[in-house]
Amino acid sequence: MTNATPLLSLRDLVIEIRGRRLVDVAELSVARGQIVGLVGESGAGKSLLLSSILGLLPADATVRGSIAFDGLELRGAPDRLLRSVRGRRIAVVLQGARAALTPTLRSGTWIERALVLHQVPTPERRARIAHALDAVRLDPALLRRYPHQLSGGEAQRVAIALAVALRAELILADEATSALDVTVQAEVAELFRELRETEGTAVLVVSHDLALVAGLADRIDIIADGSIVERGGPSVLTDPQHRVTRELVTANPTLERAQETVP
Amino acid sequence: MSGSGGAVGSTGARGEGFTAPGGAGASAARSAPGRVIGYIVRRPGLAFGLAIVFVLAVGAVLAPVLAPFPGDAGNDTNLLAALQPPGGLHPLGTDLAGRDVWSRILFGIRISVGVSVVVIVASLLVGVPVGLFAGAVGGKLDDLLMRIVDIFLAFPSLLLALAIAATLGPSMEHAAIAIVVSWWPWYARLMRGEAAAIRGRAYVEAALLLGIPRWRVALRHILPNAIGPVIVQASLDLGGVILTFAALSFLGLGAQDPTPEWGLMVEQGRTLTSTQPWVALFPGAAIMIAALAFTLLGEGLRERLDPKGPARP
Repeated sequence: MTNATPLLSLRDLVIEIRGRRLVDVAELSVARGQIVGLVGESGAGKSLLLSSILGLLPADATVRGSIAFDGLELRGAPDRLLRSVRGRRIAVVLQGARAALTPTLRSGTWIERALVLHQVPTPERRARIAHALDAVRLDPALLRRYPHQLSGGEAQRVAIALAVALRAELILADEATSALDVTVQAEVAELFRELRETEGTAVLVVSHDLALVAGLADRIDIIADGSIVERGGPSVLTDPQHRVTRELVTANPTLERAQETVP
Repeated sequence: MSGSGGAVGSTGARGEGFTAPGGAGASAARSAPGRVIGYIVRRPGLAFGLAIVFVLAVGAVLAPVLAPFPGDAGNDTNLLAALQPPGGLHPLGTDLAGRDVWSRILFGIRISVGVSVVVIVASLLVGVPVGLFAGAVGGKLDDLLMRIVDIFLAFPSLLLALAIAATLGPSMEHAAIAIVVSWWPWYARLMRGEAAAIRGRAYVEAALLLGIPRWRVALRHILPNAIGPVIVQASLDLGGVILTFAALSFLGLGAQDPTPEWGLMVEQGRTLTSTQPWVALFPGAAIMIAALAFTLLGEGLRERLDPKGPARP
């Protein structure tokens, strides 16, 4: 496994639902420790693309092409294999924060059970959880709380802490910060950057918020109507080529200002 | 990161069942039993229902001690003391066979309430798994199971129970089976609706994305969050089942003499209502009080477990 092999590599990925082609991506890859932004308007196929990676598409969806994760082909893989990858190697952080935590479980129980499920031995669990809480700067007392007793930012940290405790190699962040207020958004983004440094975690940040992604990602892919229409570094902001990219830039006043000040 | 302590009030959606709503600031300081008692005391209906249920439970357990003539609940007869009015040795009078009505009502708790509890539990044991499975899986199996449920629900419960009990033959066990058969589809449908609604929640998706097998997601993430309204409905239904069971016995399809079943006792006093009303009146009152108690209890629980709960027609 050389560094040149991407951790996640999608090739000729086509997703159709009832004959309608909703995703058609020729190539998208994420290297180990890389943060990639996937930005598009709502309905561009971002969430569908994410669900396809972990094999949780609606029953009436058909998928063609290749979804390779660390040499494993995930498309059409047996449920057993997919379940061992889900959470354990690829963690998903959802938009809802609190809504993504089961209301009848204390956050600590939720983390604990996931570690048991993925066969983390008992003596190791405590150390891993302590490390994860430290990594996301979460007060251990919050593990005794139920989701409705957490703030949105705290709940999001719980979800990310679980990804750290499971030592996920890739985090798929599905609008993970959209429901949070601006300062908390920045904190979560900073957390992803830190995890990349300390844990070597790769992150695929899926969002409609170009400003947030631009400050975070090593590379940005712009998706429109299911296809990648533009790809590049933060320069896509200052010199957008595609119509959709320009719209995403102008839709955001802070970005527009950034554009004006950057020569 | 704010220190929004454990006193967070009832803001969340379904998850709010964990801190006592109402007076959140004050109640957070109190102990858990203190909070529960405070919650009940502020709701007279719930408190009243719970008190009666408690009295019924004590009466059922201590019937042999409390009843002046325990034998009268069994095969004893005392024709010389038949149809005595309330008073003296017989606080609620005696029936046609000279049996003490008060003793029979006390032992009748075990039959009328006891059998109804068993019937409800059995209905839940059938209905909840069917509904959970249908709601959590969805698709064609869901459709198939729910059409079967619809067939059962097309008949009024009492009528269906009556038909089944009549077919099986008159006995207490057959009456109980008949009620279970006519009752479980309600829980299947209710459970299915709750489970199907929760299946689309983010935390269910998150659980699947963690690699948790679907059956375990259904048991640990859907069931605990969907069961509240079903529990509420079951406690409300206890009153209805007590009435249905009494009705079947009244019609001769349930408990048989000398079983001290309240509905049967009402039937035995039916022809005497103008002359010796106590024979039918007191067992009838017992049915009414027990049914009322469970209804009040259910309504009290509804407020807690199912704030937006659907009413059953």
